[in-house]
Amino acid sequence: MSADALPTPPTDHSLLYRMSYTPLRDALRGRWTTSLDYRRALAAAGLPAALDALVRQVVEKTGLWRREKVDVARELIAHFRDGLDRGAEPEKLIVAFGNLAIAVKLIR
Amino acid sequence: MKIETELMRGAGPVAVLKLLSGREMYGYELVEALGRESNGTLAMGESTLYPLLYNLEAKGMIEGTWREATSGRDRKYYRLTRKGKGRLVKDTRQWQALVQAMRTLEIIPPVGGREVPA
Repeated sequence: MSADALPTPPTDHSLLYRMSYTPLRDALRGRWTTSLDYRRALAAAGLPAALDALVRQVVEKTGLWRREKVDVARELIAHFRDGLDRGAEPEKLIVAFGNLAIAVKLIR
Repeated sequence: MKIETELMRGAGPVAVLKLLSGREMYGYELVEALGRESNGTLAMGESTLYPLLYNLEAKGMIEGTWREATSGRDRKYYRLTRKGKGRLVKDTRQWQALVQAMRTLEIIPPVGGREVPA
């Protein structure tokens, strides 16, 4: 996989996956939104590979509940998109982010 | 000047509350404003700021709302709550008392006095 290639979005469409990642209120209405899977939001965001990887690392290492993981992912995606829109390079955004271990520890 | 972690732990939250007392802001704006309006002294990375925001939100000091920005993308805007305003007033008084004590000890020069050279 090249440095610029992004991980592919989740392709699991099994009932178990849909039940696991769909909020109960949506499931009761028959809508399998899988909105609790942060990886879908990340795939849709289209961040550069390095930023995508950073968001994944932060979110996964926090060990939060799925809904919380989605919230954290959304916020980091929005932040990095703002940075990119202002012309910042991904590498600079990663440096500015700071210590990953500290972020994970504090978010927990 | 890089501020020691222990000092930032006390200064960071009140600085964020102060910035939000003026208007609501989103994460990237806060990062920029902290650095710019403190001449870099209170600049912090996102790895510190976002957990701080989550902590303040969990304590009810600020409230975050997702809204669509003019760019068409979603952003989480933070605003100060009533509880946060009360906390800001309380913390501001404590910082003023602290600064006054440091002036008395001549760690901070009196108003109009000279600072210790770096």
